[in-house]
Amino acid sequence: MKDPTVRAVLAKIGRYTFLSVLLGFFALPMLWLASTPFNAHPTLDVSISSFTLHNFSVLLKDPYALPSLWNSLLLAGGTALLTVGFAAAAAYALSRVRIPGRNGILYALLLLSSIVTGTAAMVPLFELAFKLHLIDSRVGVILVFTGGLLPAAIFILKDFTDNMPRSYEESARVFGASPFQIMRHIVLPMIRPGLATVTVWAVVNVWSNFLIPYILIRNPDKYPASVVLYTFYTEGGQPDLALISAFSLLYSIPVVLLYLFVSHRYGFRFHGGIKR
Amino acid sequence: MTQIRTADLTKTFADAGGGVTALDALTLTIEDGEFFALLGPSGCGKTTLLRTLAGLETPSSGAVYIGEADMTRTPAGKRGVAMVFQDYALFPHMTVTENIAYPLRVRGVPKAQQREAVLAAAADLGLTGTDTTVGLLDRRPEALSGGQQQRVALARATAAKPSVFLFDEPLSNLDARLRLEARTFLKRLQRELAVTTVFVTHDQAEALALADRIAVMQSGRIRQLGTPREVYRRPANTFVASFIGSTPMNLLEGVVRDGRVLVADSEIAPPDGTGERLAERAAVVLGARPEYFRVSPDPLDGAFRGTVEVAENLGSSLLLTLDVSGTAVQVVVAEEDEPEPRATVWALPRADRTLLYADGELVG
Amino acid sequence: MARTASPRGTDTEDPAGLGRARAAAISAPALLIIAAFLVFPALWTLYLGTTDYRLTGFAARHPRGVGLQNYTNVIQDPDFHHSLWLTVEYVLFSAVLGQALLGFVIAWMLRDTRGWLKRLIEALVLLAWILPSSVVAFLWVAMLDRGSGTLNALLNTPGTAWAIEHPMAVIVVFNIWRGTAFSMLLYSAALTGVPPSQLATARMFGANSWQQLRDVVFPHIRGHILTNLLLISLWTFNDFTPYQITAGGPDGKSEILPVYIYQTALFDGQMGLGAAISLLMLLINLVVALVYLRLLRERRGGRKPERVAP
Ligand SMILES: Nc1ncnc2c1ncn2[C@@H]1O[C@H](COP(=O)(O)OP(=O)(O)OP(=O)(O)O)[C@@H](O)[C@H]1O
Ligand SMILES: [Mg+2]
Repeated sequence: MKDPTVRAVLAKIGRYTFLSVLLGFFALPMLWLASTPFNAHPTLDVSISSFTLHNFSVLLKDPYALPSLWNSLLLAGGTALLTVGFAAAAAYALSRVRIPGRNGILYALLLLSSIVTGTAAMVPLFELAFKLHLIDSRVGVILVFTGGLLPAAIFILKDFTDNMPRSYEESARVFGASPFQIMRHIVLPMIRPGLATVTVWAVVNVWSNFLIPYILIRNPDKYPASVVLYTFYTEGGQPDLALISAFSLLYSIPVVLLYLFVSHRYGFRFHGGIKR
Repeated sequence: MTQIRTADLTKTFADAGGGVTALDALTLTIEDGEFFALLGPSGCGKTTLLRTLAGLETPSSGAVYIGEADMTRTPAGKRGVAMVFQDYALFPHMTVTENIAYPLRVRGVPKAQQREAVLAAAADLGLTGTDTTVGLLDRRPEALSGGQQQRVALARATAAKPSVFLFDEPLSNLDARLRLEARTFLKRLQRELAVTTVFVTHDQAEALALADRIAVMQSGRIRQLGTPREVYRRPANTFVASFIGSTPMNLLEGVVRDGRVLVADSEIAPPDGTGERLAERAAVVLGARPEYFRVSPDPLDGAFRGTVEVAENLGSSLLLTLDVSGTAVQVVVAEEDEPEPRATVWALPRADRTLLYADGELVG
Repeated sequence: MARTASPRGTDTEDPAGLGRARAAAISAPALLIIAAFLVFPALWTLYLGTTDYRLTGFAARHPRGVGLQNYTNVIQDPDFHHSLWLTVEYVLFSAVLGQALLGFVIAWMLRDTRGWLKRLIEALVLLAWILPSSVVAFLWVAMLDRGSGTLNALLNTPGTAWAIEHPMAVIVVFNIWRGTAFSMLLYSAALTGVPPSQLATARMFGANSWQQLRDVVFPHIRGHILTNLLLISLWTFNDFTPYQITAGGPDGKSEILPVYIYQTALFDGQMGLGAAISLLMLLINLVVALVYLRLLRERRGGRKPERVAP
């Protein structure tokens, strides 16, 4: 048998080797995003041969680049608001009042939501938006996103409300709180980690979705960043790496900030949520 | 004037195998200002009764009156009751102050008045700081000890200025020592506020110590209702007899012969004044608390003769388990009277404390 | 007096006194939006699956019902079989083996670590998960580039076109990179629920790491493992992002089902056929979900039987 201290040292070496490889694996693809936007002669490799901020100043002058970030923000914010608000109410109702077959219905909706986000449902979605005069409307995009995200949001939040002890609500009720007061004062604050999780999840989903705004929005002034990213081509028809990389960085910053905020505020973990 | 009355109160929970009757035609009156304990083993329906009084459960049949009014259909929150749950249900996202103020906030009481009421309730319960202790008002429940949480829960209930307190085992989450302190505290608080109080517990000592009257429940029914003294001295049936008392009562099967009771080969005098009423050869159960024995190393007339099997130290006294012709009889002796192991002793039950049960009910 | 037996737990299930009417009212907005923008288009898609609807041309304006024609076509199509098989490989290697395993290993190794290393690793793993998919796709295209990609520079394999020579391996590794965060988060939450006293007891009896995992940790987090596998399997099954890296090529060598649908429905314009494949995918998802739910129920049934309401 080996000397235990030797084994401990070996285990430690193994551990740190593994963690370094892990670090490399996850960091490697991101290096390009960190270097290329500042490169005067951008290529697909990772290097800063000549540092510049020129790429960003080009973007600032682009008529669609910055507004598209604002558009993305509107879509993501609107969707997150609707999704979290409606999902929280529905999840609470489903978790507290007995409705026959409620779990089956939820699972069915969850499965259906995978169809609607798929490409095959594009035509029905387009026609539906057309009939409702929601083409080229942000509200239309938000509603379509909300419809697709709600089942999973309800599912996640219901897990939070299901795990909330009943005695809090009962206690408030005995003190005379109305059902809506109970929801406002007790339930919503107590499932806040869940609300944060769902908000982040909804924002991130909308932020990166290309297909839905692409088919529902006509006016380039209303394009979100995900669509604008595909419009940067040089005159020769080649992808314009300078603009793409710089815009990718700008486009990524909000989600990084969101991550930093949430991880600072809530520690970015699942708080007893999604369990079972 | 807040009397609580239930009439034929029944609560059935539907279940896989038919139904569970948690309350079975319960009729009960709790007087104004009374400290009333509901005592019984797990699952007997204590919590269900309390929740039905609070309006959290709707009875399957029967009625609840609080004060003069029929409140059977009154929603929870409109009954003027305050309830303290077993887990206290302190809202984890609110500070102690916000927790205590919550009943007032719900009623839309102005902020300044809320603060006053909180300070008053908190002072009553020792939650504000003194020279030597720090105040707890700005902490969140997770930063409080069990005993402190319990007091915050009480403060919140008193801040509601209810006409009835409902307590569901509020002491069961405390350790033994704290429990004693909290018990005294609770009793004093109830005396000062003079609010009708219903207190659920499965700890008979707690019920005896706190209550003005006790209802002992079993399977949704009340098996005995009385003051702690009555319930302790004269349990109405063998169920109550075995449930009440920190050392269980000896319940010994026997038969009546010649006006005396033949138990474990010994002839014991029946309780005073029952001798002539007993039918010859009737099967009875003799009840005698271990505390009410005279134990002697010398023969006594009409006593059990047994050998000491086990001696358990209770502190100031000893609990002996005697083998009396194959039947176990437990007696308590003072610490200085400890017999030798396997010694033969005579144990004479006190005639004025001996009870007799026939068919499970008290006959004398 | 009539005795009404309330159904088991009615009152405790409604601790806030919400009642059916109010519950219906507050869930109505969510349900209406779901009905209008999810169920309706989904059903429409299913209906299209029984027609010869095309994006352009005559059949775009006058789709004809073709019954189950689309389904028989799809089921007999060797391309579909190929694509289905690729999808199974993709899910198995990238989700079930890759993400779940790597996520667990990270969560386990970092479970009692504090400090910057843990924060850095977690931040990078999470970043890979939350960055927009188009950005991420660009990053990978750049890294894998034949001429100047970082990977070739690093491995000293100039001129290797990874996305063309090993397309499946590329999208599998990509998806592991992209999605491990979810499993990591879920498992680290689950691991906090394993009582330390039980681990300490196992260690005291001389159990090595593997035995501790097998005897203490896994029994505790079995439910989490199943939930995790269910969700990541479904997500990976329906994942379209690989298209942005390999475009399903070359020669359909990485044409997993979502890409196959895209090619059929939008590229070839055969919407009806695409919708039919969507339904088949939905059915496969359903089977996967049912299998997991079954396993989950067995776990719960094993420990404490659920009381059934009449
Ligand atoms: N919501 C419910 N659904 C079905 N059965 C219930 C429900 N609540 C209580 N019961 C049943 O009713 C009976 C009485 O329960 P209750 O909670 O009142 O007992 P308890 O006396 O408070 O017990 P404990 O001392 O354990 O708290 C039990 O058999 C219990 O299983
Ligand atoms: Mg109880």
